[in-house]
Amino acid sequence: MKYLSFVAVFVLFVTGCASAPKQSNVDLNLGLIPKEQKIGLYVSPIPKITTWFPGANCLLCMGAASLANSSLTKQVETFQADELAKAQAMITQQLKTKGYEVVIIDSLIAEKKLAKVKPIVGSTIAKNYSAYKTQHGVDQLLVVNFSTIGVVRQYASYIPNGAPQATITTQFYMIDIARNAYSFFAPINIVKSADGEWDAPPTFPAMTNAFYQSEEEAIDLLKKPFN
Amino acid sequence: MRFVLWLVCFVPLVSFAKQEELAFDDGSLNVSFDTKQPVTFVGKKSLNVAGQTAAPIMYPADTAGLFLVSILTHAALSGGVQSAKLTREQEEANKVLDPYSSYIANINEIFLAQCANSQSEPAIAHKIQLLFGDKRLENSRWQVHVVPVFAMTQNQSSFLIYNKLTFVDRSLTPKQKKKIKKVKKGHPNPSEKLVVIVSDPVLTNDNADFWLRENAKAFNESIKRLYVESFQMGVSRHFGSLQNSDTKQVTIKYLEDGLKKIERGYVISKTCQRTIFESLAGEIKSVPNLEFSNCSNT
Repeated sequence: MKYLSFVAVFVLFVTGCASAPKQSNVDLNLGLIPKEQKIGLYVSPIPKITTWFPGANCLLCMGAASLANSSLTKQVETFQADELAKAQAMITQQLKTKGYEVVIIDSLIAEKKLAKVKPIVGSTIAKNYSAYKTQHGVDQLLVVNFSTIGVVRQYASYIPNGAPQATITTQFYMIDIARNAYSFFAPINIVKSADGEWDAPPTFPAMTNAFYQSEEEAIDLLKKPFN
Repeated sequence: MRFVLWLVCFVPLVSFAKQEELAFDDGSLNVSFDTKQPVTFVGKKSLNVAGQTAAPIMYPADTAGLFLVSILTHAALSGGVQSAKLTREQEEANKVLDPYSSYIANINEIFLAQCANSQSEPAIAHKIQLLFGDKRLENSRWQVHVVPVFAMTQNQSSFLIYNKLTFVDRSLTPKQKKKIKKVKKGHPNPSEKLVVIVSDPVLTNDNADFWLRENAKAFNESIKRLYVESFQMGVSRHFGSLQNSDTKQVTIKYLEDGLKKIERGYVISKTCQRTIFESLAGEIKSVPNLEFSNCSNT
């Protein structure tokens, strides 16, 4: 019995160590950020807008999925994210209106070049971001990193597992460099189905609308912390 | 009688920037209606965040209701569990129309059609021959069948009309008719014009009172205005006098049920208060802009 208890405790301990803690969302409170602090803003370029087929993992599966959805991909690749492309200007203006000085950062320092640190309680930041203070003179680092923009359709090998959905995923956070902790953390993960029949080539009007609705929702989420 | 009708039906007219001569060959347009059916009113389900609509709810189930479902429905409308859910949802959404039921009963297609005839732009009005149910075909090239469906938003701020106009060219020979290709899925049917108009939103503390006071004066005027304007827009669009102002596809943002709705389309005209556009599905839509309440009434 004692042996079994020991094994159970051991398993729990190892499992706890193996799984990385997940960062929970942190709301921005601009009242806690002094106006004299400079905010470094990095907004990534808009990635290629295209389609993805997760679940079609084998080579032949990927080929089959691409072929079956070629008309959709052709249409999706004509989509423009003109509103998202204005995100840097939009956020800069919002922060300036609130009285902050904004420093535009053109590229992030590679994570491997940042020193490791032990995360503080409540944070998952395991790197020292003081290099941004040294290089750019900023006290806060605000990052908008567009990961995927386009349409995703889930697959189970060769078989589609549902209708395509418009998707926009974006890392969206602000780090207080002195505390090495998040002032704000709210990743954007939008998945939106077409309203009506999606399968209407060649223009796929319902899917097109779903994409631009996703774009508008992403813009609203990017604006929200600074309103 | 005609004078009484004119007085009763008087509403402001829509004027288009460029009104060109309509392309009627022999000078008349036969307009037919399905007068055996009551005019359909539905309760429109609430929008999701960022403007996705759920399926509209049918009030009486009839021809107009079926077409409304076919143009607005979600992909997964058919099937056991989904259908049962929709029936309960239909009943729930229709409750928004309960205060209006006695006034809805007075709305019939003959009355609306006579309003359209008496109040349409002169270029259209003198060419319209109204056919009431018996479908007599006068000596004219064109016939248009009109099926209007009205909807009310759940916050009772707006009425909407979905007016389907189907144009039949009676001059086509059977051989010519055979040559007309079937319309592909996803492409608009050139002989049909679906006109959707969202009325200016009412911004009061008690929207129902606004619509129903003075014997439902605002309700009746709004319904008539929506019908006349959608009819005019559909006819003008079909005969080429309502053109897109730009070939570039843009994102249109507008108000419906108190929320922002997003749609891609091609602008036909835009004022401070309102945008008229062609949707990606080929519908002609007239909607109040997001900044509608900041515009002065001119």
